[in-house]
Amino acid sequence: MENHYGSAARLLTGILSVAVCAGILGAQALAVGTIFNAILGVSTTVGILIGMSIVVLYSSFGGVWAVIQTDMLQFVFLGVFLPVTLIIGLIEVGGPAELVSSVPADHLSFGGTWTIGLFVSTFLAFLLGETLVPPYTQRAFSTPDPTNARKGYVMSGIFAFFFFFVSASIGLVALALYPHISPDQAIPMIVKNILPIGITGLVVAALLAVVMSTASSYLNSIAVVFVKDIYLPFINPNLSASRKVWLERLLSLVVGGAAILFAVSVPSIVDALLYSYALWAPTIIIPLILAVVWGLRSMVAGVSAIVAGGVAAAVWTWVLHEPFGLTGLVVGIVVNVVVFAVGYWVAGGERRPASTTVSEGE
Amino acid sequence: MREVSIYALLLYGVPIVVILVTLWVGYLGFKFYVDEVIKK
Repeated sequence: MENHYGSAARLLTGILSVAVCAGILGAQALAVGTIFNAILGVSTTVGILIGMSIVVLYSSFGGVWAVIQTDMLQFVFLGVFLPVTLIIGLIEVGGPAELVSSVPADHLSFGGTWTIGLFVSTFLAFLLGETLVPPYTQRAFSTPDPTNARKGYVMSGIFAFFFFFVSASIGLVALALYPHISPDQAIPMIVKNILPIGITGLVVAALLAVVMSTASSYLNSIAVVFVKDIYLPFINPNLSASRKVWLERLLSLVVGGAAILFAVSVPSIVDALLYSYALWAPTIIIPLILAVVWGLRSMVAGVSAIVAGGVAAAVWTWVLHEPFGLTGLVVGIVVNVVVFAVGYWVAGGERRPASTTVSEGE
Repeated sequence: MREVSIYALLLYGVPIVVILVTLWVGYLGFKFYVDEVIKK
C-alpha cells in the first residue's frame, strides 16, 4: 500500500487490519463461549475466557509455526467430525425426505425470505469483508510461488463450498428438530442432544477446532501487522529481533483481552462479523485490488478513498441507521470507489510499470 | 420423489466427499511433516 498510496495509506491499512482482525477474533471468541455454554453448561463469559486463554497461549508462545501445525490438526478434526454430525443428525430426523418435508419451504429456496437488497448486501459483506484480510494474504505469501498460491486458493474455495453445505445442512437438521432454536445454538444443540457419548467429545473438539484455528490465525496476524506495519515504520525502526518477538507476544495477550471484551458486548456471532467487515470492505479492499491487479498509484486517491469509504459506512450505519434497506458497508464501498476514481483523475495518478513486482509485506 | 432422491444424494454424498478429501489432505500434511520436519 505504501508503494502505491504513500506512508499514510500504509499506516491506515495497518490500523484497519488490526481492527478488522480483532473484530473477527471477537466473533470467534463469542463462538467459543457459545459452544462451551451450550454443551458444557458453563456461562458464555467463562467459556470465552477458557477458550481464548488457550488460543492466546499457543499463539503467543508458539508463533505462526504453532498456528500452522494446530491448523492442520484442527482441519482434520472439523473436516471429519462435522460431516459425521450431519449424517447422524439426518438419521435422527428420519432421513433426507423427512428433513425436506419438515423445514419451511423458504429454507430450501434461493434467498429464502430475504429481499434481493438484503441478500446482495450480505453477500457483498461476506465476499469483500474477508477478501485479502491479513491471515489469507499471509498464507498466499507462505507458498513457494504464485502458481501454488493460486492453486491453493482455488482448491480451498472448492472444498469450502462442500464444507459450508455440510454446516448449513446441520442447521436445517437443528431447525427440523428444534423449530424455535436460535441460529447461534443450532450446531451445539445437535451435538449436545443427539450424538452418542463417544462421538460427542470428538465433535466438540471439531467445533472448537473450527473456531480456535481461525482465532489463532487472526491473533497471529494482528501481532505481525502491528509490529511490521505500525510499530517498526512509524514508532521504532531499530527494534531488536528478541524485543520484536516479545512485543508480538505482548500484543497477542492485549488483543486477546480486547477480543474477549468485544465478544461479550456484541449481540451475535454474525453481527460481530458484520461489524468487522464494515471496517475492511469499504476502506482497504478496492484500493488494494486496484494496486495489486492494475498497479495504480496515487496518494490522494488511495488515502481519500480509504477515509471517505470508512466515514460513509459509519455515518450511514450509526447516524442515518441504514435507510432504504441499504447497509453501511454497501454505501461505503460505492463511496470508496467513486472517491478513488475522482481522486485518481483529479490528482493525475500513475500506473506501475508492468515488469515491477510487488514484494512481500507491501 | 425425484426431488427427494436428489436431496438424499446431496445430504449423504457431500459429507462423505468432505470426509474423504479431509483424510487425503490430512495424509498429505502428515507426510509433509514427517519428510520436512521430523526427518530433516
